[in-house]
Amino acid sequence: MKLLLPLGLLGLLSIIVLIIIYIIKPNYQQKFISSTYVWKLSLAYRKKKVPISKLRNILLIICQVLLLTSCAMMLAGPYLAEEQTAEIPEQIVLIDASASMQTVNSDGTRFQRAVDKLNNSLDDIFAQNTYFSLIIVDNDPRYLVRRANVSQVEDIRLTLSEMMDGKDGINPICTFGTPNITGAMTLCEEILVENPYAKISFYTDTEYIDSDEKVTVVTDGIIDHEEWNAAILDGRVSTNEYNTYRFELDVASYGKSADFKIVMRIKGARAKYGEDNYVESYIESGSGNDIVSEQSEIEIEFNTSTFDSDMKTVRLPDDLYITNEDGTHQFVPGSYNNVTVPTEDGVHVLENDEFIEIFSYESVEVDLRDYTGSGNSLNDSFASDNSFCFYGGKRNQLRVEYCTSLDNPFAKGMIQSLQSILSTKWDYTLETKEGGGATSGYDIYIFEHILPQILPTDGLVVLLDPASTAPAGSGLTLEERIVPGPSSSNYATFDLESDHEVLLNIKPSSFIVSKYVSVIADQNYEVLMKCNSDAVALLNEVNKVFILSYNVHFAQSINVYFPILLSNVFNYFYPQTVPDYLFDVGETIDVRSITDKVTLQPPVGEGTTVDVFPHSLSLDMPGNYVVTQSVTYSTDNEDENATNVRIFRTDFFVKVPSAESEIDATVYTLVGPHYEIPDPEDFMHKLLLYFAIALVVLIVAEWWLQYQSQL
Amino acid sequence: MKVSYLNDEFFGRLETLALNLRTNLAGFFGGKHLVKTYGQTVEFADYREYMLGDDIRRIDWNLYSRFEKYFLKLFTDERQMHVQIFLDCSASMEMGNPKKAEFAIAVAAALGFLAVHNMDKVSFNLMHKDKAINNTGTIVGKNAFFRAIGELENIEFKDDTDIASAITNSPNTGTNDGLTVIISDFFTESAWKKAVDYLSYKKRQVMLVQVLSPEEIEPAYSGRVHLVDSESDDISDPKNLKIRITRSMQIAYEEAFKDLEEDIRSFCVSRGAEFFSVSCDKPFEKTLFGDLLKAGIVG
Repeated sequence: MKLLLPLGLLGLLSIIVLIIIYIIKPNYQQKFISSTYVWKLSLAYRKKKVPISKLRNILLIICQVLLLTSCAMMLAGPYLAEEQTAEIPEQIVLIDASASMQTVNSDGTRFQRAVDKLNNSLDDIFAQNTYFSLIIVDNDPRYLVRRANVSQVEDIRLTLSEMMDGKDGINPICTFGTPNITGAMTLCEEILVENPYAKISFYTDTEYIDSDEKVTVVTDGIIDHEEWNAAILDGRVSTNEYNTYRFELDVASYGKSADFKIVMRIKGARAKYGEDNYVESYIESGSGNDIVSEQSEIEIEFNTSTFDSDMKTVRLPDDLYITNEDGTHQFVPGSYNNVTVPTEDGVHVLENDEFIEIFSYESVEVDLRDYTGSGNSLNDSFASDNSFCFYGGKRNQLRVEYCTSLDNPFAKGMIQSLQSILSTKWDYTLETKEGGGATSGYDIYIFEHILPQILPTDGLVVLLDPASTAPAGSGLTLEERIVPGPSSSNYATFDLESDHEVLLNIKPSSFIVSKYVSVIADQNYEVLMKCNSDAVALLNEVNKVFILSYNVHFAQSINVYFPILLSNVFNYFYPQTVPDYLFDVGETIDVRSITDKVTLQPPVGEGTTVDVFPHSLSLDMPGNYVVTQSVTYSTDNEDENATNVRIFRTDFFVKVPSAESEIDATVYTLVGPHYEIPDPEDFMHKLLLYFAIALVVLIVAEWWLQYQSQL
Repeated sequence: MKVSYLNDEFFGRLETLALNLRTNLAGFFGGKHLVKTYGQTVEFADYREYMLGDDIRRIDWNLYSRFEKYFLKLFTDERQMHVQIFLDCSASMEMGNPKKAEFAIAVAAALGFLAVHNMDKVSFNLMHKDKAINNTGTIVGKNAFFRAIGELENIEFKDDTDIASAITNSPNTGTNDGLTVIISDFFTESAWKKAVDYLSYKKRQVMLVQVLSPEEIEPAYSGRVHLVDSESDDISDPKNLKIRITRSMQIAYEEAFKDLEEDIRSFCVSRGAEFFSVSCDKPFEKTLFGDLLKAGIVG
């Protein structure tokens, strides 16, 4: 510890004065008394009660000494010279690698311009700084160069060059996601801990009104004010008051006001136009007899007023109409408002007063196109947000066979209710058969009271009340019906035997039965529930077999857990492939499958096959993704309509985050990293703080002791 | 020192009082104190059967006529007692307003007058250091008593007193023959309890009279005080005490004082002695006709 003003210690001399004052302080007042005997006895009493009386006697002088010492230290100004960190010049460069940096002009993308600018100024940076660090700022910020010195300049240039190498004109370093600036600043803090004097430069295309003083935002040479971007920011599907589909698009133009048209191609649509003209179009799908070779689509060209940075929502086909004074709607075709529908003779262009109503669709592709040309792509500076796709209009078909020997309205109604529950995920086709049914060609087989000769192998098999002989090779042994008690009025409830996923939200005690069948199964079956130690609910995950061995005629009829249990089983074996049909770049989703493996086809590049589920898929490219699964059916089926292989295809669209489409964005605040530069005065302040705390504590102690002595 | 209490009016009021001493004392022949032993007074005490050697003149013939057996009629005895008064003449007794010594002399004189008034003997023993000096000898009769009173008024209170040594070294403390009164403030480190034990061993009736000043009961001073003991030799004597008297210190004094009195009282009870603590600022008559009368010592 050193002192800024050592002469300030002369103030400590005042302590000597204090001590002298205490020494020459007026003496005790003499008092003649008969005897000090009782006073001496009372001293013993007093000492018992306040053992710290000695401390009390000197407490006041301690406080005074501390006070004088504090004053002297304030004058002297102590500091720790060794706590000061040497100021080493250092530069940290952050390069924005978000989607907006892919905005292109004649000099390349903004990202390329930023890298070029850095490359050109590298010599100047090392002329002024000892160390250099480079952080790429995308979804997951990371160091590309960390605290390199001048001897590593060539390595840094090589790194910058590698950043520029791309495939198909797309730079692999610059992403289509959003920048994680907070994460980047956290990385900067790692260096600022070592050297708090390091400077930060952020190469970005975003203007900041109020940036952190530590961070220098570099936009010159990166932003070209001639750049503009027409963008589809988001899209939604809804139904209008006529229960037909409406497609909503959020559209804007950044950088300049622009006119362009929106072209929408509706595939696989069922629609009506004019008075009673219907049109059906299908895209190619399925295999064998399911193949529909006709390819046709409804195309809508829409033009509206000029777009600018204020987002407008376009509703198609609703916005094609105008509303008359009498409240009727009218379609007014113009130069760029055209609707073309496929007909048997070719195509039909909608004329005045012909409406189009869309009842169903498989997919809808939307493009922004040049206003002046016909069919030309829009010539804006950022093309990745010029297209959009709606998926989810048509779901994969699920074939369900329900075979029963005794028509059971409750079970049948329950299975039909499942049809509506699963309709958001699947097109659910139910075939009810009395007696034996097919053992191949379906996705779900439900056998109630009766059992097939052999168990189907190409789908989920649900056995309800399996009261007859077990199928050969099924690994099952079925006992006689068991009555839980001595009389028919007795009943029993189920007990939980497993924590399997299919038992989620199931209350076994709600299964109240008066008769059931005890099932003895091999090791491939997991017992889910038991009744009186007899297995009554079992699951075979390998062969997809679920058994519930009681008759609803001999059970409590109203049991809400029965359909929940079946729904859980269906969802377990037939999960939704992807959770939605629209995502942003940068999201990560779980892909699930009903088969052993699926093929994932991203918008760019080759597809991949995965066989471990759920598969975590990181969405880093905008565009259409396709997930394909194929199910192979048994060949011993006599039904001529059965097919050997059926394709389950799921499409979904990944868009550029809407914030990244705003290429001329201005953000108010840039929050910088947290760091501290050691201040030599800090030590003095801390020391004074300690003195002050000690003083306060001692004064409080003195006050307390005084208070105690007055009692 | 002229004691204001000692005047004719004071002694005149004592004429009506007498000392009530224990009846198991032996005493001397010729006094007025009734004792348990049988004697020749006219006051009937008991009967007993005639034994060989008894004076046949004391046979109660009326009983013989009724029982045809010889019974003797017994009468109580009256004895003279020796009242010894030990007065603490240390310097501490000189303090107080009014002075404790004046009050102590008055107590001694009053008790002495009651003794001679009942035909008992009185001795005034003045305790200085470790000795008890009897300048007036054994006093019998009022004439001798009043001569001795003049001596008491000339007592010099100085130095300290070792009560235990003074009493145990006294040449004539007597045995089973009367009352011993110790008058002091008992603010002493000497083992005065030994003296009480010694007198109890001598079968003397013992009475302790503690004379205190108001300042000793409730000190009125506070702050940083150098307490100078009246019995100290000089200012550096270890008996003196530098002390910061606060409210809590005063509370401690009150507790110590209370415990000291309780200790003296409980000790006296255990030894069958009487203990009186009197404040010299209270009227003397209240002590004499109040505390002593209430305790039955004076009747």
